[in-house]
Amino acid sequence: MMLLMGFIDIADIWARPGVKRGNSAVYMVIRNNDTLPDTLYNAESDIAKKVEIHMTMKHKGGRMGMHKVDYIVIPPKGEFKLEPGGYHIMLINLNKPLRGGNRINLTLYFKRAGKIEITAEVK
Amino acid sequence: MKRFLILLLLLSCGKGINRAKDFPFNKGYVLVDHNGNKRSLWELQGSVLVVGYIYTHCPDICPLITDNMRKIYHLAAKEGILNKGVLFLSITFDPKRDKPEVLRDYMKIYGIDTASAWLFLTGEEKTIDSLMKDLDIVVDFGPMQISESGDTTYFITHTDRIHVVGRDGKIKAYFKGSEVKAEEVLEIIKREI
Repeated sequence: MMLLMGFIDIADIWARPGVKRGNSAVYMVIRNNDTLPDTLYNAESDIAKKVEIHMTMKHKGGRMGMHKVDYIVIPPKGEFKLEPGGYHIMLINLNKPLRGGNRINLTLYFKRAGKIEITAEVK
Repeated sequence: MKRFLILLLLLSCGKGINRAKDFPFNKGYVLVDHNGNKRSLWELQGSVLVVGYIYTHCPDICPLITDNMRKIYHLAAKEGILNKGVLFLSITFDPKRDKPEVLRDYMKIYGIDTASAWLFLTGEEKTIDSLMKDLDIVVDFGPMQISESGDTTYFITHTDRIHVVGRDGKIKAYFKGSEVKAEEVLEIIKREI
C-alpha cells in the first residue's frame, strides 16, 4: 500500500512483532516527489511509551548496536528506506503485545510536509 | 572437494568454520528454559545444536537472527532431519528482563511452537555473563533511559552470531546471524548429523 501525502509518498509500511513492555521497529520507504529536500524529525504513537528514530550500526568486532538519530533527510526526487538492519522508527516500551496481523497507527512529523498519519501492519 | 568449497564460501562471506573451540558443555552451566525448567548444558551435548544469541527487547537485529533461525528450522523440518538429533537454542544475554514467561511470549508472537525442538534459554545473570564470555559473545549494556512517565529501558550492543555445534561438542561453524542464508547452515547441519 502506498500513502500519497502531497509530495511525500510512504510505502511498504510494516512493524515487527513485540512483547508487552518490549520494543518494536517500524519500517517503510519514504519518497519525496518535490524538488526540495524534506526532513522527518519526529514520530508518535499510542502503542508505545516512547517513539524515536533509530539507526542500527555495526561496531568494532562485528557487534551490532543502535543509536537515536534526531532526523532523517529525504532527498529531492528521491527516497529514504527505513529497513531491517538500518534506520527504523523505534517503538519503546510497548503498551500491549504486537502480533502478526495487528495494525498500529503512527504520526510522522516532517519539516515541510507537516504531520502525516500512517498505519503499519505487524508482520 | 565439496567441503573445501563450503569452507571457501563461508570464509569469503566473513563467516567461518571453527574446529578448535569447544562449546562449554563441561563447565557446569545450568540455564532455565522458556517453560521454567532447569537445563544443564551438559545434558544437551550429543545433539547437533544451532545456537543463536538474542534479547527480546531488541527491535531490529535479534528479530532478524530469530527469523533466520526459524527459516533454518523450517528447512530442516522440510528435509526431515529435525528428528535426527538436531536442537535449536536461542540464549538471551539479557536475563534481567528475559524471564521464562517473557521468552514464551516472544516465541508465541514469532510463531514458534513452545513444545518444538527449539529451546529459549535464560538463567542467572552471572551464569549468562560467564557463558557469553566463554562463547566470545560481546555484550555491552547501554545507559538506562528514563521516560517522562518514569519507565526505564536500555539497549544492548552485541555480537551478531549463530553457531552450529557438532555432536562432539565442538563449534563447527559460526555465522552472522542477521544475514545468514538458511541453506548455508543446513549444509553444516547435514554434515554433522
